[in-house]
Amino acid sequence: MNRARFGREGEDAAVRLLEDSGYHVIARNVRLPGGEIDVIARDRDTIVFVEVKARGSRRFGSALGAVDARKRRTLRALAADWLQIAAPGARARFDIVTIEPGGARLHRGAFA
Amino acid sequence: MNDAARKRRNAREREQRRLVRLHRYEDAARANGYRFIAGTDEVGRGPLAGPVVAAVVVLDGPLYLTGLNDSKQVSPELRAELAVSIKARCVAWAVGEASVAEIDRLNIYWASVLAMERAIAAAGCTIDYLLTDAVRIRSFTGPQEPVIKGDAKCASVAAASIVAKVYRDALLVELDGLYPQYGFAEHKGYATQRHIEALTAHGPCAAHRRGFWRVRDAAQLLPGLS
Repeated sequence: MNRARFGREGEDAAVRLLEDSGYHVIARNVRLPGGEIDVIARDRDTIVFVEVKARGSRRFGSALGAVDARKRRTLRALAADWLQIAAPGARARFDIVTIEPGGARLHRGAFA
Repeated sequence: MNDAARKRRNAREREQRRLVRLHRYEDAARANGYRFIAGTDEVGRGPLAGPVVAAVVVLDGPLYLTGLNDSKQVSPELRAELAVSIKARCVAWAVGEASVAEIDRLNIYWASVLAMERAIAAAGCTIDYLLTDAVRIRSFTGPQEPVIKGDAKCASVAAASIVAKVYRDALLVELDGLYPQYGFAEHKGYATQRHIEALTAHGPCAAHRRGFWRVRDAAQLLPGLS
């Protein structure tokens, strides 16, 4: 399986987990001038930006740890841009879905 | 070859021809050099309750999915399957909603345009060419083509109608948990006999569109509850 396909399947698994958790997924693969947001969902009246991290093994550290300060900064900037054009004034939150050999996990409000 | 086999083959070939035809607007746009071609459509203009939902589906190639058609022409089971395939095969997709309050404030037409604008905004900046079902989206600055009966003529618009329908149905099932007396999970807010009866018996809830005369009539029968 190639890397893009691995990423896509991870995202599909993440979307299923989000839907099972009562979220409504509102957008996928949102390309913005500064990068891409994997998944945007709505959890009641909150917009949730979801970063999906899939890891085939733990050899290179945990998936949660892979969303580092730099990645978070990028996501914050992308989210701010998206909110401005798509949902001005909406409440927002950042979640991370990690997919590791042990299974998929949802980390609500993983960072702010 | 026997008769049944010939019929099956004819049906399959007919469906293939229909699917090719379903891409004529997308193919024309692609021939003009546009790469990311999107279709947008809305569902839920008619219902007495719940938001109006729009979706946008961005394609960079053909979407030959058997049965792909306007969401109203497709069974709920096939719709769910198609939605999964569409989401897996498209470049990007997004949905937008306009709330019951917005429907009552703007009217249903402008609320559905608002939902489409939100879906387009939510999809980000990947759209080179936009196909719509007979509406012009003023906030979209790129080239767009309104197609009359677009949901039955354009693959991307049909795909958007299916994604929007599946999303809205899930919302109405959720709403049914909040207001179980109306049967939202079953009729999705549309004016069925059972819905009208429940509306008359219980009065409207917060999810009902007060601007719709059937809802107003029911509210007037029960002034204390409105």
